[in-house]
Amino acid sequence: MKFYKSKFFIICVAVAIVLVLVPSALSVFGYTDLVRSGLKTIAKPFEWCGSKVSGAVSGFVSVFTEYDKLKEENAALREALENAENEAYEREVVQAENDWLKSYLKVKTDYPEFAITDATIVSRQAGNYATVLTLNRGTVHGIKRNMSVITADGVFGYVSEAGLDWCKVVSLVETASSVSAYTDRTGTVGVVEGDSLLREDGLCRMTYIDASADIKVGDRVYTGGNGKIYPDGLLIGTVTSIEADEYSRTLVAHIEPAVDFSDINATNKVMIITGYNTTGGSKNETSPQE
Amino acid sequence: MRPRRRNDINREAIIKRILVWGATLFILAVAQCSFFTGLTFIPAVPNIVLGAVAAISVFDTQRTAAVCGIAGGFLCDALGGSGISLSPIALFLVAIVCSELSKKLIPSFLTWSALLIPASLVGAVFTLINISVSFGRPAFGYLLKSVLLPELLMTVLFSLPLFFIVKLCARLVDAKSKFKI
Repeated sequence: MKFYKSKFFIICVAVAIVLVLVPSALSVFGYTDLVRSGLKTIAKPFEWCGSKVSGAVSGFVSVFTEYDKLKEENAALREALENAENEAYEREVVQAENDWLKSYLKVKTDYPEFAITDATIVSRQAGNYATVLTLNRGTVHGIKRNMSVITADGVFGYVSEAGLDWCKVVSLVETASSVSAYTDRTGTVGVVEGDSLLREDGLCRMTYIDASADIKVGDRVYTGGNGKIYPDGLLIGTVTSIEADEYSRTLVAHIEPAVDFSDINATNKVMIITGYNTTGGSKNETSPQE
Repeated sequence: MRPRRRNDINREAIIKRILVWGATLFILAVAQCSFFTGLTFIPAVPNIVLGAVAAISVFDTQRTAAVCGIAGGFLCDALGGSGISLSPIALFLVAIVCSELSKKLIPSFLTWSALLIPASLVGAVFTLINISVSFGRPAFGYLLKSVLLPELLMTVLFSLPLFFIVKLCARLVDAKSKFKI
């Protein structure tokens, strides 16, 4: 009790009150406290060190304290990514279907005389260069041997064999394929057929071209419709080179098909022409002999 | 050579105390205002200067503790406070309360730990006054839950090691206490 009655205690109380009132009053009235400013200046380097150390400690500790939060965030992000991937995949499927339907519509519009059945390629001949393919349409769908197969780009091939619900298609570049053709610019006629060497490059050739015929690189070649597999006027491809036949007085032109056979995997869907109207006649079934 | 008189010895002890306790309080105030404010994983900034004053109260005289309380409070406000500065009175009261209580306690670390609770309560009362003055009428329940209790807990927790640090400093100043130095 002696302490509380001492001068020292009274001085302490007074000093404490002054140290409360003076800085508070200075702060309230917007004046700078010189003593405080001095202390702040002295403490500045120490405070800088302290804040750096605390930042480092907080960063280290956050690895443990925020683990659950990060885990949850990671799970949420994974889910979001999965959803986005699914959406992108669905969009891609819809886009592909849309592209297909557009091409289907285009063929339907360009060739109203054709009866068309769509088909999906379900398997491909094993090997480096697949030219014989199996489609998911067969006799139950009205598919018969030697029906022509097309895409929106042009001639694809013909049906070589038809099962109950499947059929095999020989592509245009296959050696077993031949089709009468003409060029659009001059009407030069010939026969487009597959070639074992050119097939590797996704090309075919046009033979029996008269030596005096007017044919140039870049001419577009169409089906002649003389046989009974392919209707008249379907785009086959473009002339890429012309040379003289070694064994006869005719020309041979190399044709780059409109359908890209070098990337056959890009083609999933094709159209089978199940019937078409011949010139002025009624709709006929295609006949097997070209 | 002139023999050392009693006044000289007293002056030497006072200077020693000013240097040792002043440096201790300055370092702790800097740590409180920079290091502990940057620790994002603790719910509140501990008032370690309050803990140091409570420790000085048991290891040194009541007079020294009172001066340290005022000086520590002023340092805290100068380095970290803004607006109304109540810390000198708050820590002065902490020093007085702890000095009085320590006279009645068995001198040990455990009893000193218990002493931190009333000391922190005094600090919490002044925090409440400070908030009330600065921000008007606050919601007491919210303040208790989000400010006062976390601050009290953190102060008690982070002040515990100060017992040993202040004990070391008390040896330097040749302090006399019923607590073993």
